[in-house]
Amino acid sequence: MTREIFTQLVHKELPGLRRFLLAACSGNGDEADDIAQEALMKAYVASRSFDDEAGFSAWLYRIACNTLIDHQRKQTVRGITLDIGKAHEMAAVSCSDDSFAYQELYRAIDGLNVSERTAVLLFYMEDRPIKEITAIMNVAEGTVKAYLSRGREHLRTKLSK
Amino acid sequence: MKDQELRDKFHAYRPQIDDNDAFMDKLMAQMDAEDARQQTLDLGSPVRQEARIVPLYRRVLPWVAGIAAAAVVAVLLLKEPTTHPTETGYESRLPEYYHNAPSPSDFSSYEDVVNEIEQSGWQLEKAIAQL
Repeated sequence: MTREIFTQLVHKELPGLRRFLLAACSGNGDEADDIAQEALMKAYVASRSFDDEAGFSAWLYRIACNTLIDHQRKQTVRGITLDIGKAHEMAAVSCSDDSFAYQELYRAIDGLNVSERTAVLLFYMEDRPIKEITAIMNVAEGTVKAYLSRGREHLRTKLSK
Repeated sequence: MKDQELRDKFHAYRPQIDDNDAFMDKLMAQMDAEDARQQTLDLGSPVRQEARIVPLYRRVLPWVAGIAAAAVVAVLLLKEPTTHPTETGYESRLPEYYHNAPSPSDFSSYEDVVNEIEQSGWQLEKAIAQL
């Protein structure tokens, strides 16, 4: 794949990818952008031997998910916890009710483990079909369904309180 | 909460990202740096040359060949030449007598010695006449 094609495809995927990573990092914009930069550079280096333009999106998200998991593992080892308060900075929320609902949603997401969070965000926020999530996460379809089921149950419990 | 309600909630509170152009510029700069780095490696820069590992046998091979050649030359130069011809088919030009010459113990008297000298002289004269 040439640099020009890679740049065009990244330009198309970038808003969704950054939004997904920002939500997955509980609103920590610096961390999300670091992961996005690292994942995109890994993808750029690997793109020289990648020619499947139709599968580019799933391939890029797969690299991003792996990079995200690596980062979160390092943070767990170093004992760094995510700052829920930063979720408030993620959107321009005007009224206090919206702000509360916004923080409530992302606090609930933060209670999920990284695999469940990834599956939930790809399915509900990015509207990715289960088959594509299977390819992105490199797990069986049943595993993705289990992640979604556990994630849904957790969110229902937290958001209905 | 139904699936659709959950989806609507996620869509309503999607994070807003508005500095994609700045992010893309930063990414392009990193891609330029990566291209430059790759080009330097492809051209065989000192970094690449340092990384190249020459197997031990290839480093030692010229020395081994040189030492072997020197040894062969030394043997050829210092080897003592043979005193007798060794080639097959060589024919001596000396008369038959000199190949079967008697030893001093074969003579019992002075006359025997004189006779022998006469005979050998005659043999030598004959050989010279044939040349």
